[in-house]
Amino acid sequence: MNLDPDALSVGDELPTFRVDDLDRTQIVRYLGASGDFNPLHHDDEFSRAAGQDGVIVPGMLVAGFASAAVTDWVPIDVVDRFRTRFVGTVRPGDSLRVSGTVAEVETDRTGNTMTAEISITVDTADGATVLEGDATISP
Amino acid sequence: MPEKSMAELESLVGERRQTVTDLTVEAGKVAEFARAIESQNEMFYDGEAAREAGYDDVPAPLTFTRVAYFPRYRVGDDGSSFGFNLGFDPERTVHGEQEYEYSRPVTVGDTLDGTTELVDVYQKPGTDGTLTFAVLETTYTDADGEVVVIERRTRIEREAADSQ
Repeated sequence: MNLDPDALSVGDELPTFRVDDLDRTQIVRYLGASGDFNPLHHDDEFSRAAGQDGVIVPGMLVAGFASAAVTDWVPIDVVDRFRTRFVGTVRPGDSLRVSGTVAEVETDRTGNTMTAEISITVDTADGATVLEGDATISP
Repeated sequence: MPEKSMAELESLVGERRQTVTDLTVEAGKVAEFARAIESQNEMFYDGEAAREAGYDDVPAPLTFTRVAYFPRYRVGDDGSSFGFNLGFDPERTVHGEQEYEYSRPVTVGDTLDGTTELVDVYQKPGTDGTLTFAVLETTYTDADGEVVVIERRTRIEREAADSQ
């Protein structure tokens, strides 16, 4: 189903964005691309000493997936604002689902979208919510 | 508690420092970053497609300014405090929230400078002790001095177990 950004209604769902079985190579690819060399994300021993079971995925990679879900759907230049709150830990092997729902819409007289607020959630396959966020778009 | 008292942290609120210098947005880096976040948007990978769609050049993904952490682009210390030594213990500190406001997309060819302001510090009770919050706002400007994107990062430090 193709959701038209110019004709949004409250409750419309964004196309689902999935990442299945997030593996170490994908994590390392992001660490190198973004410059995050915090050992929490690549060194199991360090992470265990810090109280984790092993490496944890940086919140900003999960935010990156959430942002990709938005900009795979709308042109990047219609995004005015993007916010993410990190509420759960993601680990190697997790599968993630990014879902977005239109929470508010302002339309012009002909019903075209002027601005919209999108509520975004990232959940693991087990149903744990790891990220909550929102985006404001002006198509 | 962080090494600094709340009074010391509060005295830093409102201070603005230059933290990013000459962050040059490059097509190869943008493509690498877009691939890492699994984006299928061809704009991030194809300059011709981007220009045909009306962009000056390849636009960068929404969270791309994260690459400002690379030492090449940093001013002063390259720690995660981004210009402010908050005294937070890295082992008890997490990234709580991140927000961006865009004037226009960050675009290949941009050279960005960034200044960071500590806009707020506050404490809240948490399940394992007091949580200390610090909100750092970084404003990125281009070579014309125009604001491109404002980034707001909230870091949260959990109180040490032995200080309770």
